[in-house]
Amino acid sequence: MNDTIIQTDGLTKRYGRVLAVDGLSLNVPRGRIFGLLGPNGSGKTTLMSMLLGLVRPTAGSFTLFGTPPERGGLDRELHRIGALIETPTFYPYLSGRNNLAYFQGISGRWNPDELDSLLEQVGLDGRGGDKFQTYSLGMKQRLGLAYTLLGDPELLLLDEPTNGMDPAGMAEVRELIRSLSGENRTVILSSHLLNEVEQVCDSVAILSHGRLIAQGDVAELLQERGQPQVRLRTTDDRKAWEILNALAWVDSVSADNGYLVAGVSPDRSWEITAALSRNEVYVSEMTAAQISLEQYFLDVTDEAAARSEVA
Amino acid sequence: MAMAMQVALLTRWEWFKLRRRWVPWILLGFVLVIVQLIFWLVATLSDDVSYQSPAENVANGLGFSAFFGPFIAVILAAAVLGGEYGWGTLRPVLSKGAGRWPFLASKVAVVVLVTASVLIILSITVMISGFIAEAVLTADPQAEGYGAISWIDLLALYGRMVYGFVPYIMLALFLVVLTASNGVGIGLSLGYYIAESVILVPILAIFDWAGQVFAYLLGPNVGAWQAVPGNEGDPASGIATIGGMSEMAHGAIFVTIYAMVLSGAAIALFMRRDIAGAKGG
Repeated sequence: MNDTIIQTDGLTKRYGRVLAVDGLSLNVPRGRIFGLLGPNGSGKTTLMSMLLGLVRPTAGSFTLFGTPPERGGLDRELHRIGALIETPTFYPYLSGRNNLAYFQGISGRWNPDELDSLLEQVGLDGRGGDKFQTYSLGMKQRLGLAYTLLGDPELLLLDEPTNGMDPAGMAEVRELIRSLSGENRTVILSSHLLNEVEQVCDSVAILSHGRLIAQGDVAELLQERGQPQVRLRTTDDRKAWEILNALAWVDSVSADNGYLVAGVSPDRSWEITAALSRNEVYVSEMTAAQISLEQYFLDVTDEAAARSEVA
Repeated sequence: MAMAMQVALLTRWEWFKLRRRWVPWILLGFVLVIVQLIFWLVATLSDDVSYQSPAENVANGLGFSAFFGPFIAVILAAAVLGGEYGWGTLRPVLSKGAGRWPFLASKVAVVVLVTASVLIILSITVMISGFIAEAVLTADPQAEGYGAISWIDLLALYGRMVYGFVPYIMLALFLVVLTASNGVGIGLSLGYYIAESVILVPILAIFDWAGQVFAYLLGPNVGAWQAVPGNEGDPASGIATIGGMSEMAHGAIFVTIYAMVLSGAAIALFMRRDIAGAKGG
């Protein structure tokens, strides 16, 4: 079995003068929850649309499930994919259940039992008979998730799946996405909620202006990028700042929300405590800190923007 | 074979959606009311209808439908495809592997089948009205011309009626794909039909040289092709045929050419178009 479920090579899409996706070469490993991050207009939706055959690439190529799309189109591969792109759009005059029935029917896999099971799974079992036009945005998202799960697909492409949901709903969806991943299923999650991505995804790709600017396992990226840090509160932060700044083995000292943040490995925490106490400054709180995915995202997108300005 | 099966599958599910919409039922009601009004108006004013055999009554009913049939076909065709653009549902449909041309073909199939069904329902109601008229209006069934149209003629007319609407269906689908809009598609299609049948006809009648153009327009050829037996050569068509062929043969050729060209254009455009933007248009 091929370990890469999606591979793109120089994939490019141009809309007139706008370069939506620019020579993107990306690998998505099988069986992972893969986060696709990027500011608005970075090309995430266009990329997903190209993978689904909705948008024709201007240049480049890609493989799905290890094979390039057939000349006649992607229809065979699409039966193995569940995708929710942008806001869920279904037939307003059909009930949620009938919408699912239609999409199940056109896939040639009519199975009423699956419909009831999916409606229950996404929390719509009491509202499946109501027309789609009466649904709230959160309910539409839930129906969209049920739609993506029709036919138990191997690959899920989810574009902002928690958009419009309340916090409880978002937590449910996160849990659902985690439960969906496994050896035989890959989830690609595009979201603006970086905290959500950090909680759910194993690996990420970050896009900016249609280009790939970072890709890898979340933990590894943060570790590579993130300078080891220690956050602390003391009895005299001003004096503690001066003491820590004077220590050669402390790379940096900064203030963040009432904490001092020292650029030093947490392994040396005891040395910080000792140095401060020698000067009659005592530590009241100390934790090891790591750069967040949000900070990482902001850093790399800022750097990419600066590079493109220079170029 | 696999593609034909896919189109059949999609057509079945198109009907699943369409029968839950108001559009086909409103159009059916409109057709039945109009045809019944015309039938009873003619019957009570002239007694002519009561002299007709059941097949002739039905043929006349089908003849009435030739006038408003294009309206119905255009509105229905634009509604079944235009709705997908309006609701942004092309994206979820095509993401499920429906296939672009089978999806478009299923739209054509369902509109043709619904139009054909409407004509059958229309025929049955006109036949029933014919029996009632005959009983109520006490006409002489042996009048001149009684039984001139056989059931075989009627079947052929029915086929010609349905086939004659296909270019209008394809025109509406092409314009909806071109404009990605239900309303604009209907407007342009009906605009073409009205322009051709109401505005162009008198203009072309004034200028002799322009009369030749008439033979190449869609409306006159559909009119010639759909002519009710006994009414062939009706001034409503009256086209200058090429090479001395019959008007019906001329009409058949041009109806086929229009249908093929418009369907080719619609499919080519639909296959190439990116489904992007909020509504996928």
